[in-house]
Amino acid sequence: MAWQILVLVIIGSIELTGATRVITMEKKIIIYSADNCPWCRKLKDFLLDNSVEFIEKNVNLDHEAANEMITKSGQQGIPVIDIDGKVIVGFNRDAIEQELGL
Amino acid sequence: MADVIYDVIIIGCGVSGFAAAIYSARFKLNTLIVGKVSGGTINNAKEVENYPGFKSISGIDLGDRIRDHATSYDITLKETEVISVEKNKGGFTVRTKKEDFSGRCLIFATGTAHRKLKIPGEERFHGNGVHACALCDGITYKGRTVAIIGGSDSAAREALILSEHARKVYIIYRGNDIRAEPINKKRVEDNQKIEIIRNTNITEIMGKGRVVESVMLDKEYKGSKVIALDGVFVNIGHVPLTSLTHSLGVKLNEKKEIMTDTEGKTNVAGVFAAGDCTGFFWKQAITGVAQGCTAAYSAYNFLKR
Ligand SMILES: Cc1cc2nc3c(=O)[nH]c(=O)nc-3n(C[C@H](O)[C@H](O)[C@H](O)COP(=O)(O)OP(=O)(O)OC[C@H]3O[C@@H](n4cnc5c(N)ncnc54)[C@H](O)[C@@H]3O)c2cc1C
Repeated sequence: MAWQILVLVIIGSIELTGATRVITMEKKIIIYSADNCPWCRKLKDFLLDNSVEFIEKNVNLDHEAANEMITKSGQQGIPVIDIDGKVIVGFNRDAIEQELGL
Repeated sequence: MADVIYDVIIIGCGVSGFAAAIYSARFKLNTLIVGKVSGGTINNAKEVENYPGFKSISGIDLGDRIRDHATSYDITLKETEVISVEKNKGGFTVRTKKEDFSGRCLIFATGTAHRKLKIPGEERFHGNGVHACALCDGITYKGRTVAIIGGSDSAAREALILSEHARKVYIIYRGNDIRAEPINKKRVEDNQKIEIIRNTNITEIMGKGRVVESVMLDKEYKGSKVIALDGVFVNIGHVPLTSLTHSLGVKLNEKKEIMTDTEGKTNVAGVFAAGDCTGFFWKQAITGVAQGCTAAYSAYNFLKR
């Protein structure tokens, strides 16, 4: 499957008022989501708004991904985001921003 | 200390907060809205069928539209958690983890959080067999057996969502008859997968390791107090998120909801409130939006004095 061979290095950039600062991140980001899951959409919108690239695994269609998520997070609620091994359950914007240095 | 002094700081960016922001911006008030996640509670609604102007729209789409409407005006939106609120000389200071903000008046639109059952097993299986949002987590129960705890309209609709995935859905309700809107009650009654267990409380959630296996009831149902199932969705109402108001001396009712008059004013001058965090008896998107616009008008009149 595409996501298995894809290892993405993300280059995120943010603009701060006054000066433009480019933040370069080298982090592998995986999100576990499903269709029609509102907080997955909020999470994806947030990452896209911040130009953060990620690998998305659909736990509804991909059983292996679902098991991987449960093993990593110790629970089965979605979304889950794995930022270089740091696993955050749900769309916790403040925690994700901190982890990404945004 | 913050450099900008906002005319109005709205705390909470659900539909009520954004409605307040729309009106506040139209009154040409310098407006900040700060909240954790835009849209708030309505994001959990699969279909909203009672918001005038939209025959049917998903909750997240409705929330996004209201947000986009608000941000099309000259307002500032900060999506972060507010840690504390204090009075200062000219008004109020609102503190977040990253920044402090100063405002001449405040509108609380902080909404609610899910009420917990507070029974054994609830914390242990949290997120892993015990959930609060069918739309978010129901998908992982394809072909399995689940229970919704509660008898409100929201519980009935959550049961309908779960029935799209699960093999069997119990509604376990302490009352005699579920309190769903008649249109949704009929949908539940017509659904072959849903079975209602009435006048019954759940007393424990049981399982092995990380897996939920059954629940214990306070009385027998079909000859047993134990029901085998894979997941429990708790929908027994909400608790208001109003602790930020304590430092200001805002009056709360016995449910800890913010007490307001019909104009959205609290007992503290310059502090207003709207939506699910208030004591208003009917908690809907449309009522919250109406309260938001009312609170913004009152803030405008307050600042105009
Ligand atoms: C499953 C479900 C289905 C529903 N369906 C419908 C429907 O079909 N029609 C309808 O009209 N209503 C429906 N409702 C009710 C409706 O969602 C609510 O009445 C409405 O969304 C309340 O809006 P609000 O802005 O007052 O509060 P909320 O939406 O709860 O917003 C509060 C906001 O404040 C934020 N906040 C709280 N504390 C802080 C803090 N310390 N710092 C920063 N931010 C904070 C929260 O994160 C949130 O963003 C439904 C509710 C549920 C749960």
